[in-house]
Amino acid sequence: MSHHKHLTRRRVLGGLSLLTGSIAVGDFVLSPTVAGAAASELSEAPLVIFVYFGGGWDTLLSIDPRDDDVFGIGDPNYPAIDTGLTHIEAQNPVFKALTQQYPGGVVQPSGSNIDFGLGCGELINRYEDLCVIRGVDMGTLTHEVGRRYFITGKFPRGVLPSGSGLPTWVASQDPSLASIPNLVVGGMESFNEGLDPKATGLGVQGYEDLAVVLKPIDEMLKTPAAMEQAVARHLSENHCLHRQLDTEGIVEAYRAGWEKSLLVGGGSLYEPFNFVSNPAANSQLDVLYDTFGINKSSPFNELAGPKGRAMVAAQALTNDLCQAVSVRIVPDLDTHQDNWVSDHWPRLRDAFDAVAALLDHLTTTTDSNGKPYIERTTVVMFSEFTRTPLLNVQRGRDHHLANSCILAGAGIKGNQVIGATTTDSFELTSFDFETSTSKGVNDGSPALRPADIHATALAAMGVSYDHISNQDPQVIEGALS
Amino acid sequence: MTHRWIVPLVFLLACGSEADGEGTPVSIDDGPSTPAVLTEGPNTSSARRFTVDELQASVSVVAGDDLDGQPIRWLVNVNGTQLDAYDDDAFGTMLGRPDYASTTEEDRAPNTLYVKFARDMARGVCNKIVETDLARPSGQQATLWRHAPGSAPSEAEVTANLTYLMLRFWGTRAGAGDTLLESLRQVYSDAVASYAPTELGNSNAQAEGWRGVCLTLIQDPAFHLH
Repeated sequence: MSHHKHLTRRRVLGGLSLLTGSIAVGDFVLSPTVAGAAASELSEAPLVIFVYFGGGWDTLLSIDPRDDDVFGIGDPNYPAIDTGLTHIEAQNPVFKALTQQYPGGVVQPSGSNIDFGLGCGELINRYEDLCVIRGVDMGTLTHEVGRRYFITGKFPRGVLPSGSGLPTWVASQDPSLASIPNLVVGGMESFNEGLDPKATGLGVQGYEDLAVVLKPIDEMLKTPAAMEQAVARHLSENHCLHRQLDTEGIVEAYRAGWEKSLLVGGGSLYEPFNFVSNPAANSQLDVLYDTFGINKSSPFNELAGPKGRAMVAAQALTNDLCQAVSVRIVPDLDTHQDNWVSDHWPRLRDAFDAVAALLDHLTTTTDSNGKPYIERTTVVMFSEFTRTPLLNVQRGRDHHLANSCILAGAGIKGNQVIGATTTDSFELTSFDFETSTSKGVNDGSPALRPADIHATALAAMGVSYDHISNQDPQVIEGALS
Repeated sequence: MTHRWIVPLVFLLACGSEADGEGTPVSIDDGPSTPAVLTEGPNTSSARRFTVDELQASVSVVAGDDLDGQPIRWLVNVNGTQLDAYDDDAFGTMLGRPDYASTTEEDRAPNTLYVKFARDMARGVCNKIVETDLARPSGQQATLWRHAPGSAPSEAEVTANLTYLMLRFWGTRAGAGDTLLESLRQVYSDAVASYAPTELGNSNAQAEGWRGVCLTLIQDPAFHLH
């Protein structure tokens, strides 16, 4: 355990004073600029959004596509790949209309160096920001292992995570910068192994959960300030019993959570997440609904899905509440049966649409320096692995190693594809870090790994990647702007 | 719930050398009769926070029964319906109870969400206990001030009651002079002093003192970690 800062009586009562609005309690004096100073310093800090597509995305349908006219069903020349688009066309008229507009199911806008599948939705229009990285070796076909590998950059111990998540690492650089240093939305996992407990992710399913954290659950349950201070004084003390329990820093983590709950739980931070129907015209929420395409009179179904989760991320960053936000933008892409035909594409498209809206919002919203948030925000989009290039007998797709991911935003050179899977067989290829290009074949040297993606994303942010040094990560220089 | 009584077996043997005195056991009439041998010992295996199910079960035990003999529960209003706060339709899923579809294991990190919930829960539960104890007919034992029933309890009664509450809420038997006990005594005194008759209806200074102690006991990490 390192970096464990002790919860002091002064800090606890300082937080309590913030909550109650008082300035001094006996000999305990609150610095009146705690929150203001944090906001100021955050405006200089790198921001990160970690977007997880849960269940294993189909990159053939999205960021590593193949032309259906060549790799369609039953083409004897390319037996190792089946795009499967015909099955979706037969069930989904919207998709069929798209394949008529984009024959072969591959889209490459004018000026784009990236070829997209139809699952990428509106994200295609953000091609100038995107660096698509193909041929990432996941080393596992197990959901928990792949997910945790990509979150931490370290291969798990069995199914247990090894190390801390990338967002937690970023937030731990100075967790005092933001009111909520590390927000985790939509049931995504977050890991903190040995870093400052204040950088631990605050997990919520969606905007409604934030009310529980950011507001008193029951306004009627307030207690007198003097009693609160008596309780706080006790909780700041470290007795033998606590030392016995604190074998792995868990008491320290509890106290960090308690201190943070004082700071954020008073209700004042909730307003950006108070998503209501029919917001006032031209209000911040009204503009947000326009950006994300939310039905203003009946928003709640959409708010429970990818759009709502992306909106939470957008508000958290652009209201200077968070430095790192993780979002499980879609939870259910694991389509082994014929639900691949019916569900995978619309889910994938809805998720990418939401991310595109998030990028739009970060582009049009400026920070206190007058710069668009996208210029300070690095975005990582990933899944635990991809899906097999051939459909199984149930017309679903199983798990496949040769993954891809997307980097975007601050520090990233957009409008490019780096790395590759083999064209005809959708397998991993070795990667040449000298030239930032795929070798085209697997010559026995390594392919790209999640650790390399971490190092590259952190390098783009100007943050060290010492915590994964035992993985021998290499920065993909060609991905950096 | 037996697990509340497993905890003391660990800490009885491991803690207490920081007490001013030798940790003389204080006689109370609740809990196991294991003698309090308070010595600093080696650390035990890793502590974890309660699961949501453990928290729910523990609170129902320590909060005692209401006037109708039913366990005191913390009910919250969810979309116009009163629900047990730990239900999945209230905050159970949010706090990490697995649904065995998208998650099969509970995140047992004591993060801000959990601790914030614990803070709110402490208020909800302690207010309910105080409200119930104040309304108990004479002859019925109070939950929070069982060993200090009067309006002007003696120092010894306060000590006995604090010891009883530590055992009830934390499963820890304290000796006289134990620093934890002394810290709780300070909370009690401060909370008594905070009483303002106009603010809290039919309460009184002693009840407010025990409310403060209750809030402390439930928010202390010792309640949530085992």
